[in-house]
Amino acid sequence: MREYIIKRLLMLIPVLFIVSLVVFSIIHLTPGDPAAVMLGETATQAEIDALRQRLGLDQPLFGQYLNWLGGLFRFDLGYSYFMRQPVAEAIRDRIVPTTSLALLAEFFAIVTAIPLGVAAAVRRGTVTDTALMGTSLLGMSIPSFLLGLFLVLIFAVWLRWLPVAGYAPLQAGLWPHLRYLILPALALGLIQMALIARMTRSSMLEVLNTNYINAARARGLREWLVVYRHALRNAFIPILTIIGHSFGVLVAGAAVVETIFNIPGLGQLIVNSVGRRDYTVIQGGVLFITLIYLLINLGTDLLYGLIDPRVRLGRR
Amino acid sequence: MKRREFLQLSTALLASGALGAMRPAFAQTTPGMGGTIRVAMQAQPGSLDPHMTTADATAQVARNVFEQLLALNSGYQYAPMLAESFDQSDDGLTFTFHLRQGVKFHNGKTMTADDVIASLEKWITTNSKKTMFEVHTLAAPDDHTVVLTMAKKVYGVLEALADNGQFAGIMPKEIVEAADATGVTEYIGTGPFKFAEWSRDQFVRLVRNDDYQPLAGPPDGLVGDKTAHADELIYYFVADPSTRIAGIMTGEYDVADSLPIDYYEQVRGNADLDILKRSLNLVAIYNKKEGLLANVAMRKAVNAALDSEAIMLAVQSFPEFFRLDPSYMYEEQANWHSTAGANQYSQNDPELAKKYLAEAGYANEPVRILTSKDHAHLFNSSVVIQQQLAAAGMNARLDVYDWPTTLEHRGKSSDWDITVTGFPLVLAPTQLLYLSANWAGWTDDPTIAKHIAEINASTSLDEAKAIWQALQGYCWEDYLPVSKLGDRIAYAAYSRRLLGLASLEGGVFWSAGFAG
Repeated sequence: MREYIIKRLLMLIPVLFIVSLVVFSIIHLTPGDPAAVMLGETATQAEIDALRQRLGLDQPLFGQYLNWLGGLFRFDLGYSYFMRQPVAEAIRDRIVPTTSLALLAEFFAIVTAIPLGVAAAVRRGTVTDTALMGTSLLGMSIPSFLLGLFLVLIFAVWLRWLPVAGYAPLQAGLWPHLRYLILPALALGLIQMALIARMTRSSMLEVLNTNYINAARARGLREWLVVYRHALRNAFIPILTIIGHSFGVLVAGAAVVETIFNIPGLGQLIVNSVGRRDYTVIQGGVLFITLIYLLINLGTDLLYGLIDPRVRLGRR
Repeated sequence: MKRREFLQLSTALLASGALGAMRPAFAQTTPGMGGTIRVAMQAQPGSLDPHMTTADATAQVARNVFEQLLALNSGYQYAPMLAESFDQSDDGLTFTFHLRQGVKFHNGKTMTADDVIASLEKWITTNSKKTMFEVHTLAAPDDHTVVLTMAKKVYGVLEALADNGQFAGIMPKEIVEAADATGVTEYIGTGPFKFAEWSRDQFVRLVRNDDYQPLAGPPDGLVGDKTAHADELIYYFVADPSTRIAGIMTGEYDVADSLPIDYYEQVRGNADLDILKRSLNLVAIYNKKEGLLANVAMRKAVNAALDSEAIMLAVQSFPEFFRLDPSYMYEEQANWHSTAGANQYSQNDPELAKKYLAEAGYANEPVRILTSKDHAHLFNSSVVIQQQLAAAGMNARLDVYDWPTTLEHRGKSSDWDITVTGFPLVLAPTQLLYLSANWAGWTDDPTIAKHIAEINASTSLDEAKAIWQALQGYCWEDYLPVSKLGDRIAYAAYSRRLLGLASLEGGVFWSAGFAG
């Protein structure tokens, strides 16, 4: 097992290297000049060129890439002139809001999706099933920003139960921190819920038809035990895959929801940086998200082993 | 004062202020001390160093923290701020500023001439008006006097020092010396608010400067008594306009800046909200260096086809939110406003356009309009212009990119023919960027250069004004460096709980506060 983990961690390196090359090339070959954006509309070309030189943007591209790569080996992601901060610090400041939001959204999603998916599977073909899957289809189709705006309209503007937008760090207290995250987490979570519920339903349906489940029922076990302890556990691998993937999506950037609710998260950081052509932040941010994605995948694979004893990782 | 009377009075004030949108408006009740003013801004400033950029967001926030030697009063004229008086030599080359004594920076240091000189030198290096100051000297005969000597006579030195955009804020010498390529690293000024905190992409928090030394006299634009009332002034960066408006309706913000026209009905219908107006011009720039429009007959063709009313209506939707005005300088600038050349404005004459096209030998080549969807007013006006040019027989094409790409293309004379943009207020017409050869459009005309040189050499405002009238006339009738489209009136919504709010190129927050 330990060998397996080490091997997986080592495999991160070539992936990250390729991603670094790709993101660097794309962003530098895209038109748009950070110096021009920094100085504003009324700058003359001479001023822009002077700033480009000061920022090292007039160096040959491959040289700039090597500089940046060299920095990566020293865990130095570079410096952002727009934000006047090292990139690593900027990302670090934004991990907590994004992680909190992702965790809360995933929590809402799982806590609603699994019971709903199980209920739909158990009552397959009935009105309940159709209704639940219809709702899930709606959830998957609705864009997150639309859902977010509806939630703001209902819960913040009409009912005044929750704030419109903003963010309070954890230091301000757990409840203030969560209070600002509830609506955006719902906007994100309800959509993820739809996906997880569908997967739960299909996976459960497969398992509910198996011999061992019939045998359990024949033995006289209570239905809820059959469903939740035996069937769900066996059905859980594909569900876990979806959950892992959805968590990765949430961390990678609920940029639109973060913008609407004004949460200083990673998604908003990267989108804003693209708009400003803040090269170092875009590169560092994308690389960081890649790393998170890969780690989540690794975590999911390890969890398979926990849930299903038949899965033995790293053994032949 | 009862609420209804207050509403009636402020409606009357608004109605009377509709044309003079930039004249500051005062509410009638006086605010008490204390409280936190929360402003929802659309864009985060790239820098809080006012020397570095003309970005409006920077000036809005930074003018609470930094002050200048001279600043604008409510009539858009320069008036003393950190300089208690100033003289100009008879030959117009030497300006002597007598500084106020005992003014303290936020870090406790007392302001002296050395700080002023260091700040001005830094400002001169980076600001867009610097060609004016190309050859100059700054000297301090004593701790409270600064002497600026110009090599040649240039109009508008005092205006440049007093200007609100990319302004000459005074900072301590040590802070200036520690600045890097992108500006100062600490924000220490003399203003009514002190910088407290900048949480990137979230907010900038300013706190009241309790040691502020005000000028005598009532608050007057950006001069006068600027003592702050609120304990804190927080600018939140809220990119989404629906969030800004939801926030102001639920009381989470006190001011919502830059609201799109679409939301005006909502704001108008809400009795708790009022609006501040601000004029911004909209100008179509022509590429005179290279391409189709380097030929003046083509520019006349394009200009003849334009219907400014249709364009402005498309951009602003309500007639009360735009002005049709051919003047290059704003209506509020009584010194410079001119209707010279007005007969060339908004001609809406496709037949005349076709005549000019024939004169130019136009052979259906593409006329490239460069724009970006990132700014709705630029995009919408460009779409209408394309339609109008097409109706006049031109093969007009929209090249739409995101903002940074648009900026990049705009710097290249090979890439576009027409682009629409808005400009910040300038205090003297010699500072109009689109009359300069160094800026996009590349206006390089000997007659224009001669007129500008004459304004610089002029000895009185009347003389300069007459030359400017002639120059604007020449621009419209003969050269057409640009086509002025009109003035947009942008609005910000604010809660009526906020008293004493004034506006001059944006909200003026030191005089504002809540009921005591």
